[in-house]
Amino acid sequence: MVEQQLIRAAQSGDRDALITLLRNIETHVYRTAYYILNNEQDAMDASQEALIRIYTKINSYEEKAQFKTWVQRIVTNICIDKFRRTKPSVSIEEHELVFRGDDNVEREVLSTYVAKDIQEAIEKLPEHHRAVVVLRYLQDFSYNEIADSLNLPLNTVKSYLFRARQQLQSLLQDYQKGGVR
Amino acid sequence: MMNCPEVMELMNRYLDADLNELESAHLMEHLKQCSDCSEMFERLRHLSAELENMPKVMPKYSLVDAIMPQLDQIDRERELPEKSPQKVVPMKPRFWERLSFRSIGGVVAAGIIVGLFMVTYKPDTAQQADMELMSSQESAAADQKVEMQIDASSPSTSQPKAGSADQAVSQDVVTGTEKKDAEKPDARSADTAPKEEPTVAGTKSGATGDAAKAHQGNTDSSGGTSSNQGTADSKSVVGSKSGNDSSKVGALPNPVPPTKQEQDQQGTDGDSQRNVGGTSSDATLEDGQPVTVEIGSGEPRSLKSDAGDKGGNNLLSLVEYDTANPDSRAEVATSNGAYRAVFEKNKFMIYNAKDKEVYHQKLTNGVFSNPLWAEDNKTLTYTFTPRKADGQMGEEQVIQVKVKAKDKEKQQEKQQEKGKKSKS
Repeated sequence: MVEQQLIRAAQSGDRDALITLLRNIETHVYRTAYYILNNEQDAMDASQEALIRIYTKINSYEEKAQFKTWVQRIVTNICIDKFRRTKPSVSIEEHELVFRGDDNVEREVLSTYVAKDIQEAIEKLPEHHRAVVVLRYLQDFSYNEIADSLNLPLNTVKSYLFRARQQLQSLLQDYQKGGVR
Repeated sequence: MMNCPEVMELMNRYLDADLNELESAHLMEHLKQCSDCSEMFERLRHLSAELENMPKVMPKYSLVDAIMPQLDQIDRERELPEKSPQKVVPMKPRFWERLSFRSIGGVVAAGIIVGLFMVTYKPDTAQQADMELMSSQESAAADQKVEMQIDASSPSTSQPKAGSADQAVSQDVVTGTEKKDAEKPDARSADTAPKEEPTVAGTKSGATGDAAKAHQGNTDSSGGTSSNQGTADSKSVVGSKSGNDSSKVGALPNPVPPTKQEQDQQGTDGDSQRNVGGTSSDATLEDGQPVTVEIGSGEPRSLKSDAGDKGGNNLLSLVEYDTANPDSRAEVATSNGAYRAVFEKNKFMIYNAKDKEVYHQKLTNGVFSNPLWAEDNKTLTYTFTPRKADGQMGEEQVIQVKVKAKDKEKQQEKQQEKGKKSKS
């Protein structure tokens, strides 16, 4: 069964269809939670909560929206709530770009980003910036899909994403400097 | 000519494949002329590539499987007619409701037992039992004393029935450091053994359930007495059968226990005993040593006291976790020490030998009892009794959790992925 058929069956009360649907999406749900919360345990809790919510609220899904953005909206909402409860977010909204020409040392070590550093840098982003990055890179969402998922205007999505990139880039550069010296 | 901030946007949109040909041309043209932008572009491109290569993490176990009990409960609650006013009932009344139900159960069980004593035993013993009952109801502090009394009286009461076996039991009880630890599993398995129930953790018959509840309701007198009763019952079984074997084992100091073990494995469902067992005492059995294990309950007891020693907490002996009681806690370890299952604080966790959490699940409202590791040391079975929104207890169900040793593989995978990352 394709997703749409599964959804319709689930909405009309077919429990097996609903369970199959949940199985199909659990990895996507977990991945988003993992990268927003940056913690395996919290991610497990949040994604279980999200799946349960999807299970109970399947009838509130309307076909005019994409199912995957509906799902991601649920999981990001849960994660952002969780995130707010656990750690007060540090605002680094306005971070001026370092646009100066840099020395060659940095150019040489440009290729040594480690996944761990990137995750650490993502963790430093404000929650919505982080969510945008996660949906763009882990879920391969378009601007529009991200906007639907997060209930944000398209332009806001773009500006969050662009700013997040600059932020990450600059944070990673700092890590590298620290690593070199 | 575009300025640099405008180009910055183009760069970003380029990374998202959002540029048309003309815009791309503009971007490239600017980059050729502006070394700052060109460098920034390189960085962003690199960053974007790294972001796309972030490890595609997977949950370490199926989340849907993990939430299945909760989903089942949601379904059951939906089937119930809506009783919205009762949903707002605060915790306290519910708790008392339960308590009173339990204590009623306890009193009923105690009554039955007292009745049995009256019928079965000499009058003076019956009086004693009565006194024990009375004193135990006074306070929890009296528990210790009560059990001591029972210990003292049991050999004399049941000596006519089965002498040596009974002594073994009482000795063990006396030597047990934690009285409660010792008493409870004893009573439970003694109860189940004569009934030949295949699995202890499986569906319980009414009587067993009652007895178990009587324990939990802090009516230790009934616990103590029923355990005596239970052992007496099983002893009579042993007694009749061990007559055949007596010539073989008669010389041993404690001839009956191993016999009982054998019989259990032959006569009743051998698996049930195995399930319960699999601990070190099993090993001694295989060695052919005269065993100090007492009838039918050696293994569960050693399991329990293991758990008790670690925590040094009396609560650990309750092999039941109730989400309505924040202080309750249940813990069982596998016989090989590889895993430890813990129910506490609305969570169910499995730890490995290094105390690392390998499984973690939020619990739904209800009572989780009789967690038991199977012989393979990987499968945990427990009974879950959901509590419905209106405070009533639902139908109990047996839940099985299997630990798959995936930890190592997972770590290796991660390392491989990391290796790839640092190379690229």
